[in-house]
Parts: sequence; C-alpha cells; structure tokens
Amino acid sequence: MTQTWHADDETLRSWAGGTAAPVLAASLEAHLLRCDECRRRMASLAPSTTASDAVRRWDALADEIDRPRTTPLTRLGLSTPGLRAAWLGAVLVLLLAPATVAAMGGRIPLVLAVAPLAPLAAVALAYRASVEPAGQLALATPSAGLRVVAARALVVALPAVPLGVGGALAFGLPLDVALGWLLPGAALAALVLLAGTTRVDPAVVAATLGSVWAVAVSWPPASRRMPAAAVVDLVASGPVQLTALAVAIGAIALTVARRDAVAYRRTA
Amino acid sequence: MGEIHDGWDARQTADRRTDAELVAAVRDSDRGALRELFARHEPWLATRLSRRCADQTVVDTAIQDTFLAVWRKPGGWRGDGEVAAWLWGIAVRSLLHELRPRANVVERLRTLRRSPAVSAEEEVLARVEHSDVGLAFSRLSPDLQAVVQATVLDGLTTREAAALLGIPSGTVKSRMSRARTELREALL
Amino acid sequence: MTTTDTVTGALLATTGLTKRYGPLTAVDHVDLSLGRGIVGLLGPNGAGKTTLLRILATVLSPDAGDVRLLGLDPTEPKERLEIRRRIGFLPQSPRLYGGFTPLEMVDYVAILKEHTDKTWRRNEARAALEALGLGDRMHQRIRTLSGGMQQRVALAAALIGTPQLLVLDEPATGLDPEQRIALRSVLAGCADEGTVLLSTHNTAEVSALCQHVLVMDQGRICWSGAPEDLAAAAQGQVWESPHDEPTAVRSWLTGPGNRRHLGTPPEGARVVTSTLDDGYLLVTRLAR
Repeated sequence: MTQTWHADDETLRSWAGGTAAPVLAASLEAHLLRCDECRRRMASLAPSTTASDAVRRWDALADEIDRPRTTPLTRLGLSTPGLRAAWLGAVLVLLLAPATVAAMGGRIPLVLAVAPLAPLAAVALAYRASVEPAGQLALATPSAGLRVVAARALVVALPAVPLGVGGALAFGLPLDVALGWLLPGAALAALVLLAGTTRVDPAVVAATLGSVWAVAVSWPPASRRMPAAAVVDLVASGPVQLTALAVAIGAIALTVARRDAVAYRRTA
Repeated sequence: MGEIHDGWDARQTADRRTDAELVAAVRDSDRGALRELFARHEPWLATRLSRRCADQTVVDTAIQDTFLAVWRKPGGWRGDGEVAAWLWGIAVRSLLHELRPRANVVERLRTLRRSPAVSAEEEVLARVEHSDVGLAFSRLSPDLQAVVQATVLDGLTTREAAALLGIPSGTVKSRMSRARTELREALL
Repeated sequence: MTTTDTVTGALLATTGLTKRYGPLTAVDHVDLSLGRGIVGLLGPNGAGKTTLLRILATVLSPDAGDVRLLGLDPTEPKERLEIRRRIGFLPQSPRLYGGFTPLEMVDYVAILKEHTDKTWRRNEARAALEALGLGDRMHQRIRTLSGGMQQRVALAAALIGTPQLLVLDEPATGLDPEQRIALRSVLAGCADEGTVLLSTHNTAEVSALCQHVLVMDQGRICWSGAPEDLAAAAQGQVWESPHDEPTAVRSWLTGPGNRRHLGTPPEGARVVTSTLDDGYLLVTRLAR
C-alpha cells in the first residue's frame, strides 16, 4: 500500500518514549498499522533496552513453542502407525470374539481360541523394526534391547486383559472361559519373546504358535469329537493352567538370561 | 534474532516475504517465518502495549500470548486487510486478558447481557489521522480521551474497554456518549 | 572410570576384529587404534565399511577379535551400556518415522539415550537442529522434508549429548556442496570432544576434514595414515599421455585426448603430481 506520508524520527522517538501528545500518538498508532516502513524505523529508533527485551521475549516464546508435546509413553508404545494398528486390532479381536460367541451360541470356544492371540501378536509386533520411530539409530542407544521391546509389548497387550475378561463377562460367558485364556496367552507371548533372542523370526514363531493354539482348541468341538464345554473345562483345569504358568515363567526367565541377543548378537 | 546461519540454506539474506506470505508459512509450521514476523512486529506491538500498561511482565505475557496464538492458530488470519491490524487485535485482547480481574460467574453473566456494538461513526473516527477531529480529540478531558482511545482506536468492545480502564461498563458508555457530543460540537 | 585404553591411550582400538556372514568375511582381522580427531574411512562398495562401523557402534557383535571403545569392552553388557551412553551413531540411510517433527525425533532419541530432564532435552535438541541448519524446520513433519534434511535430522539425533565417540556412516549423503561445507564445521566442533569416525566415498571430504584416513578393501584395512601421505603414496606413479598405456595398472580419461595412468611409468613419461584419488585407487588396487 502506498503511503502519502511517513512519520519523522522525532515523532517516532517521542511515541516510543511515551512523551507524544495523545492526538499525535493516536494518529501514529493508526498509521503504524498500515506502514511497514515506519514500523521498521520505529524499531531502529527505539531505546537500546528494547532490543534486549525482544531477545528475552523471543527466547520465552521459543521455549514455549519448542516444547515437544507427546509423552514418552505414547512415543515408546503407540506413536508409530504399526503399533497403533496392532493395538486397535487386539482390542477389536477381544471385543468381537465374545460378541460372536454370544451371537452364534458357542459351539466353538472362540474366546479361548482367539483371545490369547492378542498378547502373542503384540510381542511379535514389538520386535518388528518398523515400530521403532528412530530406525537403526535407536540400536546404539542405552535403551536398546529387551527393555524397549518388553515395554512396547506390554503397552499393546495390557489392554487385552481387562478387555478380554470384561468383554467375555459382559456377554454372559462363564468365569472360567473369561479367565481361562490368560495364562495360555501369557505362555504363548513369552515363547514369542524368547524366539526374539534366537535367529528365528519372532513373527514366524508367532504365526505358527497362534495357528496351532487356535486349531488345537477349536478342532475337537468343530469336528464334534468333544463338546466345547469340555474343551473349556480342560483348558481351565489345574494341570493345563499350571503348565501354561510354568512355560510362561520359564520362557521369560530364559529370555532375560539371553537378553543380550536382542539388541546386540542378532546378525540382521 | 541474532542467530548465525552457517550456510545451510540458500536464503541467508533478509527475508523478503510479505507479512501475508509469512502467516501462510506459519500455517505450514515454518518456525523461521514466525521468527521473522516476531522480528518485524514485536517492537511496535510491545511499545504500543507498554503505552497501555506500565507493567513489563504483563506486556511480556501479552506479547508471548499474541505470537503463541499466531503459531497455534494462524488460520485466524482471514487473508484480507493488514497483518499488523490482525496482530494488534490479538495483542490488545491478550493484554486485556492479563489485566482482567477474575470476575465471578454472576458478574460475568451480568456484563454479558449488555451487547457491545461499534457504531459507523466510531468506524469513521478510526480512519482519521490528521484533521480537525484530531484537534477536537486533544481538547477532550483525559478521561474521555482514554475511553475514545480504547473503544475507537484500539477497537475494543465496551466491556473490554471497561476492563482495560478499570471502570464500569456503564461509565464507558456514558463517557463515550459525552465524548461524541463534545466532538460533534467542536466539529460543527 | 577409564575413558581411554590404558595401554595405547586410544579412544577406539581393535585387534583381529572379524565378522563373517556365512562364507563371506565382511570384516577380516582389522587392527585399529584411533585417538582424538576426525578419521575418514574410504573404500569401495562392499568393502565392509558399514559392517565395521556397526560393530564399532555396538550394534553388532564381532565373531572374533577384541574391541575397546572408550577403554570399555562392548561385548560385556554393563560396559556396552556405558559405551552407548557416550557414543553417537548415524546408520547408513537412516529411516526415521515421518510422523514426528525433527524436534520430536531428536527429543525421542535423547529419551532413548536416557536423558530425563525435559528442559535439557529441548535445549539440546534445538541447538543440534539449529547447528545443522534446521532451525526453521524443526516443527514440520519429517515426511515433508527433503532427503538431505532428513539426513540432517538423523545427524542431529546422533549428535545429541555431545558423544565422545561419533560413528557416522556416510554422513554427507544427500547434502549439496554448500551443506557439506557446513557439515564440516559441525564435525570439526565435535572432534574437539573426542573421536569422529566417518565413512565416505568422497576423497575431497577426507582431505578437507580428516586428520587420519583408513582405506578398507575386501574386509581389510589396506592403508592407514594422514591424507597427505595417501596422496604421496602414489607419487611418481601417476602420469598422463594421450594413449592407452600397457604398463598402467589403471587408466582413465581425464579430458579430450588426455588419459591419466597409474602404475610404473615408462621412460620419458610425463609424470604428474599425485592426488588423494590416485593414492586411494593405487592402494585399493594393490590390495586386490
């Protein structure tokens, strides 16, 4: 915009110094809204304290806008699309399984077959390189290793417990079905965690174990060799549960003993 | 802002982008554009705010809130008029927000019911720079000058002007009407 | 705590370092001893540079041999943890998650490096990004940035916390000449604090930046010394002529009707001053 006049230095100086008469000040203020040149000149004429004020104010502003907003937990656990998708998938499976059972009448122990797959998949995903936001850069940091993998797997898998149990109970399934999958799920997940310390791809192990479990639980009732209730009773029985617990503890202990391999001795 | 460029970017000379282009760049999270806007507008905004409020810490906060608003909601700029005017609008309201006593709910509801309106006459007055109006303005008493400045020149609503000047809204209205009468008489 | 090897005084030392992938020996009995300063690692593709750097960054374990980084043994878990607190690693073509902003990414890597003070992280991340010319871009999503900028984000993440040992795999990839020059001043600053080991294909980079150069070929370090000495290694073995020369071990066209030759010059040949390139080609050629 072309200006017909510009304020002289004296006017600008008196305004900046607070000594300008009200009328002059008011008209100058209106003028400054539209005149880039006078704004610039005013800044250069202003007392030297203004410059240090500007630096101080910019630093305060920069400190505010440069504050990263995300929390470490969301960054470690759920920030990358892969993990978010995994988490959503696990939640959906756990909500849909009991709903399907309720709708179909429960000839197959679907919850028992499917619910343990959620923690299993969580561990397999936590091992994948694509879930690490910093890629290979992260490998040379002190946090690299089992800790990060375990933290991610937990963040994805933990919602599985209340959702899986609560969902099953909400759809009216008996308590032994609602709770019976927990230890087998933990055992399967721990085995995948252990696989990560070997040269075997944890994803392959997860897929194999998951399929075997799902078929083992659903095949007998599907082929009418054994009623669904009997399978549930078997899985919920003391020996099976204790075996699962032992497998889980053993696999976790072995993983911890071999934790070095997670971030260092893998050759990939 | 005194930062050294080590030759990473081809653009090392003064930023030639217009204010409007800078606001558009801020929309794309260009931190350099915000810094340039700050360098251009902070000096006069701070000076103008200091004329309204002597407390440096309040001015500091108002400046910070102004540019934070620019950074977080650059969409508030509709793309017409002067960027400087938009900035001043945010700045004076930020100042006001700082100065406003935290009124209780009843007080706030009571003041809300009085609808503020800016008349065409006041709009015209705002455009006047050098004229008889200026002379007439200078003859107003300081009380009336302050009200005219807050409502007409700073573009505040009656309620906002009342908060800025620390007087009831009714007083702002009556003083504004007195100022209007005196100005009209002086100009006729 | 010892920061340097008590015997050699080196910040980085290896003896007989070996890494095999099946029948392939990627790193073959490498002996190194490096102190403060910038060290350039030159070598053709497939020479084993990346594998060596990954071992020296504690990302890979060696199959045989001994490594001492900052006087500590990376094969010992506790010592490895301590090393990782004090090194910076830039992998080859780092893949960063595009949904983060540069500031978030560097902050995140600082978290991985166990820096718990938020204000410290913000200030350090900002300083690193500004030093790498990303001050204006630190709030834009990484996926919207150019390849050279993404490379600089990764560099900033590697630099966070002023590491005593910096292992950089082709740091200048994707940077234009102007940015390469700017990178040099950043790395020169880092070398005051400790050792910078960088791999590169660019001999100009080495002569401008490095106090020491290592040439790697087929898994072995085939030459080690000052950059000037590498150029001098080819002295008297470089000549130019318009024709092919049967005695040359290597020849290439340098302009219209002019060929440069490497090897034992024949009688009366026009011997020219050797460059770092000549020296590099000669030592990798001899290693073959």
